[in-house]
Amino acid sequence: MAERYDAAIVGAGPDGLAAATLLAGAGLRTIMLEHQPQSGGMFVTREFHPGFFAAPFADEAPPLDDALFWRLDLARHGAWKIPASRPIALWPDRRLEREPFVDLFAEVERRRANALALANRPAPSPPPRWNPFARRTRLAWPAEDWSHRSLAALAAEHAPSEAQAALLVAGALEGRAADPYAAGSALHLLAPGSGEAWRGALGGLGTALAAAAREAGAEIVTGVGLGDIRCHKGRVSGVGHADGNETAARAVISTLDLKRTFLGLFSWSTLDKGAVNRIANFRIAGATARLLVALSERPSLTGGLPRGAIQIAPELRQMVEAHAAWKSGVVPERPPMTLYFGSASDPALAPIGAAVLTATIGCIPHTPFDGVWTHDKRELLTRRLLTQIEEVLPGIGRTVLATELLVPPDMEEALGATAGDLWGGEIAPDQMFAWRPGFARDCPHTPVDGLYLAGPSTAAGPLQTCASGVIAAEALIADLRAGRLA
Amino acid sequence: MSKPYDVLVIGGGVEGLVAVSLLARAGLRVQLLERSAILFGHAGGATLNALDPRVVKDLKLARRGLRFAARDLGLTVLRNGGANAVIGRDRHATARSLAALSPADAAAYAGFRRELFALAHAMRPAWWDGASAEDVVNRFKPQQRNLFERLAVTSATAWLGSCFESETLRAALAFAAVECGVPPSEAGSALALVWAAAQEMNGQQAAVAVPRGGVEGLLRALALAAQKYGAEIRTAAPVVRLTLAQDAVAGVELANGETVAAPLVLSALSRKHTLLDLLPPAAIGFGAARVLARPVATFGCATLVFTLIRASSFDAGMRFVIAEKPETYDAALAAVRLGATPRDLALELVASPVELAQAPPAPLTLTVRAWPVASSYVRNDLVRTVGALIERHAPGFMQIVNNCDVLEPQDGDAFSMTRLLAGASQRIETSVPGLLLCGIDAEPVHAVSGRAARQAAGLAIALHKKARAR
Repeated sequence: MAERYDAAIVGAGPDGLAAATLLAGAGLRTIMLEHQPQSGGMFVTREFHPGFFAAPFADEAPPLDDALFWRLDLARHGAWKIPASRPIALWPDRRLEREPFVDLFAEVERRRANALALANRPAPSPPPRWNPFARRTRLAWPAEDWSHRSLAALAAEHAPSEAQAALLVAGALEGRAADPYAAGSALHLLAPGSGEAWRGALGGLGTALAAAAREAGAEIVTGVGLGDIRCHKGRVSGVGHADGNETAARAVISTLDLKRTFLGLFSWSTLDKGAVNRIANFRIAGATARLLVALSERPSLTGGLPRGAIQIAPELRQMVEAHAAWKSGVVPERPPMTLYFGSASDPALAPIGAAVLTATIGCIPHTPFDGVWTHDKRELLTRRLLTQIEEVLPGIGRTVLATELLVPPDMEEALGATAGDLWGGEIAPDQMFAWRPGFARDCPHTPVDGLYLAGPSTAAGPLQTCASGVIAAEALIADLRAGRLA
Repeated sequence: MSKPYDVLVIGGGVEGLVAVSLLARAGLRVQLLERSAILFGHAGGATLNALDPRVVKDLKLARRGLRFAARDLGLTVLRNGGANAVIGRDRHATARSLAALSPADAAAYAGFRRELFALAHAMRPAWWDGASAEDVVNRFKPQQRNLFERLAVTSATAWLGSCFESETLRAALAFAAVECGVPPSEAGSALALVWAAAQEMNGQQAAVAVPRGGVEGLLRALALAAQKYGAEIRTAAPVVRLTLAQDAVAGVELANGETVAAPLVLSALSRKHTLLDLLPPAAIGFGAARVLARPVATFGCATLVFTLIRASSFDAGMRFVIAEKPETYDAALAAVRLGATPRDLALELVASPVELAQAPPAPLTLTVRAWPVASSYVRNDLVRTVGALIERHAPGFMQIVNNCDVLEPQDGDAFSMTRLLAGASQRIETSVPGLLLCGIDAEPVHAVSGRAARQAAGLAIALHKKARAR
């Protein structure tokens, strides 16, 4: 029989790599299984055209905790944070830099820190539940009133002008599909899709995380198709590969999303019916498309090429329209789009004189109402997007060398994310914080003994990079020390 | 000038009449000020689903002519090209009928209804007696409390989506949320369904009843009660200003320049209209005035009353809901927000009962509630859209229509969870001493139940007694 590991981690994304580093650092025999040929998950950089590099899934990552950055010793492994620059909005005739929104973002940070502190504390018993009457109870719940605030109202309250409000909203909903007027949409600010850029695009951070994990002694096996999670007498016994092999392990951390983990890797009879129903009702829907563009020359833009995100003509009306279209499975006429010149902040991503442009597009349905994504539909969308870019950056069309479009099914294929949802579930008040699995430190536990859930579907997942992996790893170590793992 | 009144009530709708009758019954000298020349001019709607039974009892409305043509209307879910399903009080018939939509839903419905009704019943101290929801929920068992807390952040669409697989059924049940003025995809709108289920008509939980003569029949009974108890009702008396003395209400000024003095004023008008238009901005503070003045998207349920030449294929004794799927609400709402006329609306249809005893026979009508309708709607567009939607299920319907009256959506506060969970005094009292709200904005949700008026009247009586004692 093959050797038995203390912990097997499914998926070598940022959460998995952080968990592996901590587990291996604690002296556990740790193995990571990744179905892609490289580790990093969302945090990869790829050469999509000779000489042009881009991170295919996102340009920026949610913030990484400073303490964790040093704890994992990422600086020594080559991670280099690029100083943040403010997003701008670009119209055909003008540009606008976003206000710093100091008060609002201080408030966002405070609430997020509270939420993370709650997600990271030992679970009292009975397990806590979110309380809508927060202010007067012991559990000072961070998001109590934002669960019923709309993003549009919040933005209107803080922004000096309508354009600034639209810019703020567009940034919060980058790559997502949500109605900014709906109550609870304010939570998108707490679960940011972007925040920090890294040298070498996101792959730079991914490589550093992988190097840290390897140095700590974790084994990373890539290119392994995942079969199922094996159970023996109600306990996890290992991970089965697609080719029939098995990795035996005392505990498993899954960094896949909730549905993929429980509905894809288990036979449903292992779980009780109530749990299966609850998991099936968790709403996961993808809405993100990405367009990678190689440009033969740097576009000239008055005021220089911005380093941060560029929102193309943000407008609340357009977001409402796009969301309604997305709901009915229609590709919006003018999907909300964010541009990013990766080569502006890291020139190594493109040949000298050339530029890399990436676009994050929101409200793109996973399955259009008229059937799956065909080659023609992709071509059509690419052309439409390039026209939209051309409107604000005239003349860019002539310099396009190559494009690559990723629609939600591609994300699903590459990342194993259900429906191509990069945030492991709709960001809605009934699916955030305590209503996501894995709230409080003792709760990455799942209905199956020895299986821990990390990744985007957990409470901490969408709040902070790597946080859910750390929480799961710490729960596993605590259980092991207390002798709760066979 | 005559002897001053103890309390003035502004607005002659259901709430105003309930408040004025209860105040007069307690022996206070009261006057009701109604803007229009006749009292029942704006009575719209055919059904009642939330009238507080204690109002009916206290004011002896049954003795004053409140009769019901139907005590509980079943809900018929209209489907495009398929068998309709009927949801009624008979559990077994409902299950049989739902089985045509989906056998799984037929099985799930009983459990859903049990859970909903139990929570709704448990919430009554908050919504009926005006306790704050926090105190009520704190006494719940953990499981029920957990359900409540989950629903407080869940949208009706999401909750129904987790219970049923049939889209038509989900969309039909979600109509209860829009009747409370909440878009069903809004977080927390699941609690609006619970609020609707906590109501009682004729002793039946969550029943929808049809009074004889529609809501106007109820208003006539209330007006009789008000008269009987000695309240003065003054029509054609639009209030233009509230007069203040030392920051407290001293009376009202009418459009003709006359002032009526009273130490207490109950307003059945909207919060925004009462506090912004009738008061100088300094009275509630500039900050609060600015918050109130913020423009909100105004849309709501419009009521269309079609007068028919002959009976339509919609039989009386049923409510019919036309809403194809849950996304219908979202798409229509997005269109309204963008200033367009949506092609698909959610509709609820109630045909007037044929009342043989009445002479001359009342005209046959079909009352349609349509959601969402912007306050800036175009009448003909709306009638055409609604007509086209009805024609899908009743071909040739527009040919038997004689006339159509449109009652535009009432304006009021947007739905807020704070209001749904607040105690009665928080909803009723304003920052101006002596000014109380008793209208739709003092209710937990955007629906008339007479309960806010009852609570406001109770508060006014207590205040009056306190002032007298002093």
